[in-house]
Amino acid sequence: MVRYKNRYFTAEIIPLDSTTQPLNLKTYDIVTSILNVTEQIHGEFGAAAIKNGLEVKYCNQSTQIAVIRCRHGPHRLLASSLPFLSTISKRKVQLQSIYTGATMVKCFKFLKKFHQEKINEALKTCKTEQEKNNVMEIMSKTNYEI
Amino acid sequence: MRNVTNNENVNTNAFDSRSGIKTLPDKYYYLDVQLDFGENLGKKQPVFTKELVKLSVTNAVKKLFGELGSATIIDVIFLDQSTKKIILRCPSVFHVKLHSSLTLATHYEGHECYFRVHKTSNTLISLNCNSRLYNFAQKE
Repeated sequence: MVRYKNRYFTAEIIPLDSTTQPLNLKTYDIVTSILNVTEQIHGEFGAAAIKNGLEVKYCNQSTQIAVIRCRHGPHRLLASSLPFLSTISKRKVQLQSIYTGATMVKCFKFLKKFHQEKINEALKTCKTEQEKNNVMEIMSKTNYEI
Repeated sequence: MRNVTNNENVNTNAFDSRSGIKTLPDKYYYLDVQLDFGENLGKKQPVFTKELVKLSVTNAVKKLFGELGSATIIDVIFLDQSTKKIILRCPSVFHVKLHSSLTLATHYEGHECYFRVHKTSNTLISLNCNSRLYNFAQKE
């Protein structure tokens, strides 16, 4: 019995173009753009090394966060080429890797903490009670579907 | 070239020979390569210059190991026009990668060919000797 080790990259996908259209994130587009950028940086060797076990496990349109799974070992190649990813399905984007975990549970625990901090930051800037209520209302409308 | 230092100067746990001289890991590796076009080479002969050879070698490395691999400095030390023999120099940590990308290279200047690696060594002079030609028979 062999245990396969994985690494999960939690990354924030930030759109850079001026259009206000929401990012239509599709897991297949993310995977292909990751493979392309790894082939550019680490060549065919790198692309082939990460291809086995590469999967986008979680992808949220409203929070613009994706969790990418990769095998332990070649995950170093993937991690070094993620900052060079600039386009996902013809949209200019920037990938900010925020956490690397060994399990998805750890990644989601981190994401929960991350979002709580974000809410606290947003609430700090509010001056009136009405604004605070508005922020909480917008936050509650976000879709958290897996 | 082989880096040789005196035992007194370097205080490491490396292999200590009887002569008191220890060798440090080599900085460069040398590859003896020959270009083989086979028999079906067209009328137009490819041009051989050091720059073009270096370009095709770098392209081969870039294809297999990407931009990170092609950033390594590879030098063409020697080039023979008639026999198409090349001697390449690369950092010793990179020579396995260079060897594998030369094996998988398929083109030179648009012509189909392959790179035949005859010998690899960490010293330039040992490319010249062939241990298969040694004669161990005792002289009468």
